[in-house]
Amino acid sequence: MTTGQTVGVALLLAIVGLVLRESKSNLSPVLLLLGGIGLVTAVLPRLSAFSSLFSLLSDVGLEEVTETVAKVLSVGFITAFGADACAELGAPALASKLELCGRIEILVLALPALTALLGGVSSLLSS
Amino acid sequence: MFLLFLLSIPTAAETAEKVETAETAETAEIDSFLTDLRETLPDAALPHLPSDPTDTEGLREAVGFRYLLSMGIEAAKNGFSMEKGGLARLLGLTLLFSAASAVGKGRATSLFIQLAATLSLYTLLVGCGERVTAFFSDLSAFSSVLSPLYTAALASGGAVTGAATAAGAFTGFITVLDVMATGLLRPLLQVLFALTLLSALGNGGAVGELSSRLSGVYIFLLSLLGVLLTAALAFEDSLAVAADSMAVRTAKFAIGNAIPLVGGTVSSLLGSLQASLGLIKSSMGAAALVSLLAMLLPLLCELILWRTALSLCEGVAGVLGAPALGGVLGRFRRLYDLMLAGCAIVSLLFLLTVGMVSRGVSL
Repeated sequence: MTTGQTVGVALLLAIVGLVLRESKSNLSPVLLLLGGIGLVTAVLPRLSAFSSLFSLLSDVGLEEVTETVAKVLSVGFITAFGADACAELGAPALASKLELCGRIEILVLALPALTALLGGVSSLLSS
Repeated sequence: MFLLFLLSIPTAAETAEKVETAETAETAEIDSFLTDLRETLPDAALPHLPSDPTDTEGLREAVGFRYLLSMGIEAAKNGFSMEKGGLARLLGLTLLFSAASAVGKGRATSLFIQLAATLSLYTLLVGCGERVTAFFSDLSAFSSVLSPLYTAALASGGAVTGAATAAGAFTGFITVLDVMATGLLRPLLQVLFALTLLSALGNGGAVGELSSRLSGVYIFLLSLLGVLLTAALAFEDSLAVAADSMAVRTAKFAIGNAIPLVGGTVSSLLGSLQASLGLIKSSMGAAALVSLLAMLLPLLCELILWRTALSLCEGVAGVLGAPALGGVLGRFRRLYDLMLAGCAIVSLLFLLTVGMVSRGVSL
């Protein structure tokens, strides 16, 4: 799906959502959410272009770092998307909880790096 | 009585034989000194020096500008080919974290990116700090073995005060080096590395301020030690030159006047020994210079390459809109500046010490 098509579909969904909201239909948020999911799913295959960058970084011995960064970015994207969706569906409290879950997940992923960093500081200051 | 006096005067043949024996002993002594010197040199310096320790022509060539330039170019080439993988890794890290900073949303993600970037850079660069400390230790060990050789060479040539000065100068230099390597540089570098790591946890401003203040203290102490050592060396050297030249002139005068017939030979032998002492001292100076360069150049090239790469990556991070990553790279670059300053000042002090001791007494 090209950028033009993506923008076109998004505008169409927004207009349909507006019409549904004017007609007091409860389907409007659901339609917008499903539309959003559809758009993101359609764009996801384009991320395969990054595989060449990842293989290049793996060639210079950065596969582990790249993997962790990719995981953290994915968690960040998914939780942000979910939190936005929850907010649009009228559940801001749930959205904030979801954001908190995302932060905890990122902290868990960052824990080995944090431990290594503090270990490095400790070894530097104790030797 | 007159006959007895005539018989007591050595014949010309006997005098020539004595001179020849003395010259042979002297040559053997010089060879022994130069062989001992060669054995104390670091392995890295040996390929750059002539295999025959008495080959003065080859030694002169080894410290010539052209040879030293080619040595520098060779070290730069070797350094680049060795560090190529590391530099590619550094650029890869910069691109990865810049891209992640550009697309990552939220404070948790950006904090993680900063943390991971700092840790990756630390893993990549910490070895260089260890090599700088090792260079200081190597130079200290080399000075320790060079000191007795210089002292012995000067003392055997009659420059007793010069020998004492050489011993004092080297002891002073080794003390300064030890203070810098173990008491000053290493702990400060470790604290600065630790602060650079801690700055990744978010409070970069306060930690950065503390780092820059510590760096200022480090540079000030380096300069102060340099000035103090230089002043001490200059003072000791001027006293030694005056004392030794006066002593040898007095000895020459006394020998030349008290024993009229053989005195000239003894006096000329003393002069010849002084000339040989000059050869020993210049050989030692040249060997010390080549050894220093052989130890210093690879490390210097490595430091300069990494510093340039860090500066370049800092620019790339700035262009790609990742100021936090640029800050991390900048902090590591400043650590390299400090290590470069430390290596440069220590090397200059070593050259100054060797130069002053090699100049020795002006007879």
